[in-house]
Amino acid sequence: MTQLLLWKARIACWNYLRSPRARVGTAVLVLMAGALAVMVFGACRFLFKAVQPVLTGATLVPVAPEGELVLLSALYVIGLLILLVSGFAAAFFVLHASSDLPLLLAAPFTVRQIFALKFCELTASQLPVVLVVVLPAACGYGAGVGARWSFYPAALLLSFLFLFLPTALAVLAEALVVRVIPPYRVRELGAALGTLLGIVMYALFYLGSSYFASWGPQEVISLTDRLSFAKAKVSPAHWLGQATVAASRGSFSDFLFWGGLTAVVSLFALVLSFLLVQGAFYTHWVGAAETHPRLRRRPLSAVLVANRRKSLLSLRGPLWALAWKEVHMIRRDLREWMEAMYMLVMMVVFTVAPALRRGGSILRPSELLLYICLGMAGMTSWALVGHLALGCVAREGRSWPLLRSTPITGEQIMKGKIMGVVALVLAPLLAITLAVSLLLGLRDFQLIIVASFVLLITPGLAALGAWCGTLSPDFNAQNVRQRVGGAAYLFFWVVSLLYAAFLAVGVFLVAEGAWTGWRVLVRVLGLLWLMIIGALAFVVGVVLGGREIERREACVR
Amino acid sequence: MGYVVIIHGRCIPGDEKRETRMIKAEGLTKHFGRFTAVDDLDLKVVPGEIFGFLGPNGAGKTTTIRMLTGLLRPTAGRAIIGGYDIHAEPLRAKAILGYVPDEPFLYEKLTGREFLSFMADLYRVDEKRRIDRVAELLHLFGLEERADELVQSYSRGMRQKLAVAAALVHDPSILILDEPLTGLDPRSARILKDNLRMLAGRGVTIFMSTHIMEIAERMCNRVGIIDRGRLIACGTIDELKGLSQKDTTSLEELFLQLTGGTAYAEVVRSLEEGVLS
Repeated sequence: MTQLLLWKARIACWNYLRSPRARVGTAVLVLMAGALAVMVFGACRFLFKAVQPVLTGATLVPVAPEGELVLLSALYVIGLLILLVSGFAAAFFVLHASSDLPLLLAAPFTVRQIFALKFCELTASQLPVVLVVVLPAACGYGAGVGARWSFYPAALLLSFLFLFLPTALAVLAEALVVRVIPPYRVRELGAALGTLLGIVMYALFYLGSSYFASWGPQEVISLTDRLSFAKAKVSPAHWLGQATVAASRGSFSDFLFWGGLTAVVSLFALVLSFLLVQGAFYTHWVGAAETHPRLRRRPLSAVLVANRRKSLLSLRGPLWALAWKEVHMIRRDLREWMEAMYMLVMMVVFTVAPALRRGGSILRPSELLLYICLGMAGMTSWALVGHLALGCVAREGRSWPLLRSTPITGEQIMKGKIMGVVALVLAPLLAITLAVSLLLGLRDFQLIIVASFVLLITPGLAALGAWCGTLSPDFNAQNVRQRVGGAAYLFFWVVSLLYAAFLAVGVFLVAEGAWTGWRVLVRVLGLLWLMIIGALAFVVGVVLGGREIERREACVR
Repeated sequence: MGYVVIIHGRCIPGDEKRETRMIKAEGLTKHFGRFTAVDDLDLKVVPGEIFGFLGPNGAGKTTTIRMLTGLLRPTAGRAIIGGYDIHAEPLRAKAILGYVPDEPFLYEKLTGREFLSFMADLYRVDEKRRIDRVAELLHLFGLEERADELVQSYSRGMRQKLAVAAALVHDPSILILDEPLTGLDPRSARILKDNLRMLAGRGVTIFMSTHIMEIAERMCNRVGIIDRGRLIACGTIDELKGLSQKDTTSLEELFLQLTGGTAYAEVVRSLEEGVLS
């Protein structure tokens, strides 16, 4: 058993780090984690330092007597939630998507030994989150309230207590979810929720930074009154908060009591989950969702009728077939949706945030407004269409040889895929760009200009993205972000910049033109220019992408 | 059919008239860097024939098939499908070709029915024929009940059946199958075997790689054995048995003789000694 654990550790760490690429990746990840830990430490130190003078009676600002504890509990609730989410993902990969579980169950080990090993793996996978989020937060608190050195070993001990309870709850939740939803859906759902979390954090970071920047002690203190969720006395976050406060004040007996209480409850939950999940996996109780949905079938006659009706309405031929397939493949994959949404929010926030005043009102330099809206439309289109088009050839995955064995040319593949991507995103893209333009203050005919701009540039952008995607597709990639190599991605940036430079001429003409007098000609010329550049980009993308497809051997290694 | 059998050389059947449904490889060679996967391979498969392509793991079977289907570009030589050079006129050649890959990687986000319709559209099967053909194939391979579920939820055997159905959806006149029976249940394997015989009876040319000697022996009119990239034997089963140095009764024995049977016997002997000691 110990030997097995050592082997797993060796495979996970040593063997993984033997590849230079993995070493570089790990180094970058460690640096990022370090930066995040410093940020968490700094933010917590600021928060508790801001509250400190009030609690020690240095000023006369009124505050709830347990403000410090409430704030700490609230932070711990967030920490526990983060650990619960990461624990859920870890439980999925360590238990459900694990390739070695069947192998281990067939080997001469007891079921208890195998699951003990799996729980060790799970706990170890949670450790980085504790070290990057929880420990810096606790240390930040200590630094903020000016705790003695003896506080820090106690903080380390308390941080480790965070490992068990969220892990146990995540394992149980995961077993229940996989009972209801098939594992392949859980994987997508997990990825989608993770991306959603990323979107929220990104939007909060960008839009909230100006809001929080003006905060002082008064605001921090008033916040403690609103954190009702952190005031519950039976919450582990509250117990951990009590233990941390006790450690900072040097009250050893209180620290032992609250820490001990948390430890006992956490260990009890861990043992319970260990026993339940063991049985659930061994008896395949958790895999039930694989078979349950099969019972909920539509009657065959209904399916046939629906299919015939659909086929009467739909357009046929290889190009349409490829386009519809692309639409289905994107539409039915939650990860694609979330990734697209992430790119969309990122770009809208990125372009709109500079136009916002500190108080949240919108800057309205009327002479620049059309430029801003066209820029926003272009960048939003780039983020959404570019991302979907860039991975469209690699989206074929390992079925690529099958497609290449059919009588379809590379150019036809390109056209079909671009049609699919553009058909799927054009309507939402128009809706979003027009809504944001309205929000920024654009009116009347100028909205038509923005809509025309989106319609004219999007197919060309999709074609250029798809072409760049053919340069280094990764047909084996599971992660939607890894479908094309870094070089192709960078090349797409360069090509996009070039495309943007040509479009800028048209944007200038359109924005400087008018709907009256001789300046109508300037505006029409601008629209014509945009149309020509868009069409040229489409042709260039399709032809060069098609050639690249024909040039490459259609084997997936 | 009057085949001529030549060991370590060319494999040319007697009837060379019907080019339109013929598979022909002329000096087919593929190098991956310094490694030669397929070396100067010549063969012909005539209409109505089921040709079994055998060889040990890594012998070059899949590479040959990938060159015949136009997925890999040969370093030298030509692959001719129905009279068209697959690399010079890929669209014409591929239009009459049905291909079952070695691994059934299909579109996970399409349903079984959508996948077959999609493949039919790529081969430009007309609307009415498509609907009937898709329903017929789903019924034939027992996929009807789960035809409207995503391929993602299919087992390996079901995916294999779907891959075979997709290869048949446009009524190809040439079929190239890479290990088509892997993962199939006995019923589906029987259906596929009967279908292949029926298609061959109608004049469809079938080129099939397999590891199962019994299937090759029972189904194939001719068999080719490839080892380390070279075609080392080719002919009917009886003709190949006649080449054996011993009184070989089965294709398996012959296969082992030709592809390193001595080494195999030594391995078995050493294993036996290990067990006894």
